[in-house]
Amino acid sequence: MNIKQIVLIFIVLFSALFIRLYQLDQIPFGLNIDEASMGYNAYSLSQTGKDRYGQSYPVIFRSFGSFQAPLYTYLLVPVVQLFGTNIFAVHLVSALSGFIIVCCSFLIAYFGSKRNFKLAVLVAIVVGFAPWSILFTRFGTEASLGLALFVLSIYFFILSLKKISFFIPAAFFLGMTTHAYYSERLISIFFFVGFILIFFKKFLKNKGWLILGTAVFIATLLPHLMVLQSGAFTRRLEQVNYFSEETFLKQGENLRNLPFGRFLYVIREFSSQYITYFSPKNLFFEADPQQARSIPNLSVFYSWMVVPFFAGIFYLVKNKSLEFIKILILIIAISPIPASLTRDPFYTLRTLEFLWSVSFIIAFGIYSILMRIPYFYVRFGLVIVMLLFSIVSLYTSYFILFKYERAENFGYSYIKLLEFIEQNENFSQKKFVVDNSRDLGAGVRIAYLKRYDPSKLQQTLKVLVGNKYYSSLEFEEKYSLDNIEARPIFWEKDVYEEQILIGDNLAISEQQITEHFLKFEFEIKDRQGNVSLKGYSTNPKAKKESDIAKQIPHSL
Amino acid sequence: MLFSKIQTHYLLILAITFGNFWIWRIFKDNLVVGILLVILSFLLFKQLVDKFQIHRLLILIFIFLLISFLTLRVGFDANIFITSPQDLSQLNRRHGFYADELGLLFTNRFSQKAYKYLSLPILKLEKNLFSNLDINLYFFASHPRERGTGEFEKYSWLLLFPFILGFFSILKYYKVVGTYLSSAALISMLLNPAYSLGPVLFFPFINVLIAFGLISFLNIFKNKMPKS
Repeated sequence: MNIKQIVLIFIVLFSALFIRLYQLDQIPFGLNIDEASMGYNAYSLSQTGKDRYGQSYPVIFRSFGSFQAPLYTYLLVPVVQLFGTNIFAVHLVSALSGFIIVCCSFLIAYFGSKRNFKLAVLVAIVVGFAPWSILFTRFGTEASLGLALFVLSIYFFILSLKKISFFIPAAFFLGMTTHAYYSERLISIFFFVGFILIFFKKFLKNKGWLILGTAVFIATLLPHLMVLQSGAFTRRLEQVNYFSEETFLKQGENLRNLPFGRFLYVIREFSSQYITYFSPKNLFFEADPQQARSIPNLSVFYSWMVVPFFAGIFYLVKNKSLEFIKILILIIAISPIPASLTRDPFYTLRTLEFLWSVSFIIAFGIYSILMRIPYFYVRFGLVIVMLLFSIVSLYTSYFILFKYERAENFGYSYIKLLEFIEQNENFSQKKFVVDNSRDLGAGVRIAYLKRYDPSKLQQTLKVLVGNKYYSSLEFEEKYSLDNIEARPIFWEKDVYEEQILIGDNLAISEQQITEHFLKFEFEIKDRQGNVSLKGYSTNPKAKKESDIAKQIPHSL
Repeated sequence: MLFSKIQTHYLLILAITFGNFWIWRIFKDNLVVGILLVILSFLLFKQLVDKFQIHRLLILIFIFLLISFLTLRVGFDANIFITSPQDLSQLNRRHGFYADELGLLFTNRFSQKAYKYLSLPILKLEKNLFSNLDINLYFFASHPRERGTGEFEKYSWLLLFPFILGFFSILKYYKVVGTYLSSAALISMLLNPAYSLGPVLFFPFINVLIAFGLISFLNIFKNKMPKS
């Protein structure tokens, strides 16, 4: 590489890092339930060596009846110690993962294409600035860490084709991905086997390295054995699959009347789920149906990228004999499989490896289109126009619309509520009940931001879990954090105590306000300026007098 | 052999053209469009497998334009230029966000006009364009992302596999296929997504892809069979 090329790639990588760190604690402003859970567990581990349920260094982290892969939480421990219990700390691991993804993508494309710098820079640009890449590396998600480790392993796999000793770190990082996110448990095994089969002739000449690499890969999977028999390992898949008899009878339609109908139903369902990830409509226009996993007005790629997408497929097929392309085709084929085993349509978070590989296809397409244009200034102009268009789309959709319209998905109002309570001296002696019926994460979010003493929370939650930490047991978790309780409002009890009840319009209706003599105290607005939470103080005296007048026995 | 290889191929394209749910729905609704689509499928297939013939290309273009005219006459999406109350509410709400964040960059006259008059029609056109570029629309009645606008399964989902195989085998004809696909996409962009027949201009394209997929599969099967 010459000086100009080094400067160019430095600009691209620096821009990719900057865009991930810019206002990292403001957009999104808040923490969703998973982020809050990971953040607080990391804090709890740093203080006590146990998670919030009192489990010492779990192999997999329990969270509200489900389980989270452990690696993100463990990596968060030093970050939380360094930066404190705030939004920035939780998002930072994802942001740095995103940067690693971009760097490794450049290296993979550069060495894989035999040092084609232009192609490699295009790959870095597409991976670095694609909407999916920005979105999922700016909030705390295990999937971004999983992808970073996966991409790192791919880099070593590519190097191992020239120098076999790199097979060991490749196998190690691939195995570690299984501790980062659920999808990688399947993807890593499929990829490992697929890679060995594709390059079997090379491994026949290096049997020792093959055995050693396989041993390293298996060794990294061993911790899973500790929870294999418990409900924890398969809990997530059980919650979201479509294999059950019940699902077949409900949705099998005319297949219910056929022999092997259930088998055909599963194949059909899998096919529809699988192909939906390749559909141009979903990739370039219609985003993930879940608001928390999508950017308004943008899908996972910019709409103009549909053209280079098709051109890129052509490039891929034309160069399918290249080793690097074979690896990419393998990833494209296997990466949607885990997500396709679930009934959630176009669940982007489960297919980051797939989106990453599609980024390569798009970069190939852009490269092949640009190479057909003979005039440098036309090529340059086209690149500038598409870049500007993309930057404007990204800025307006993510840094503006996403900031306002998706803030509630990250508990914005609850964070503002906490700030309001802490800053208002009048409320320092008051007791609060925060309704969490529509936001289960309210309690753990408050606990994290308040740096609530983990040993106190462990005392409450450990009792509920007992010695069944890894089982599928679900129970209602109550978060009593000094003067704030996050739980549903119990109308038969709470109105008889001196406290402030906080909830949205569904939690506290006009009728209830009148019936229970509640007095309006304050309101909290969401980022769009709409009232999202209201606080009402109770009036136990008036309530009891009213009950006596109506001769209603009241409960204490 | 009873049939020559070429005859087998033509039988295949005919079987695919008539062996799907879509064409019979089209026949029921509009016989003329149905017949034209059958002819167009056949012509497109011939254009790819036979030598180039200018008169065939001209006929193909003529029939394509005729079908476009007949379908747009009935199914043109007038909503592209109509702003519903929900659209207006969203436009106004977002106007506030953009104004706060972008200041003069947004509040200047040019940006205001572009936002008010262009942003929504462009979005709707994009929506129409991409809704037709959804493979699930044709093989799974849009499942798992049903739109709830009366979709129906146009082809049996079992034909998805030859469709995918056909997509890869047809890449070498990218100029013809690319031109047809782009033209069909651009015209269909103007069709209402709720139009009862669906994006009919894609019908010949999908038939050809499935045909090529089946031909490729037969070739692979033939090569693997032991020669007597």
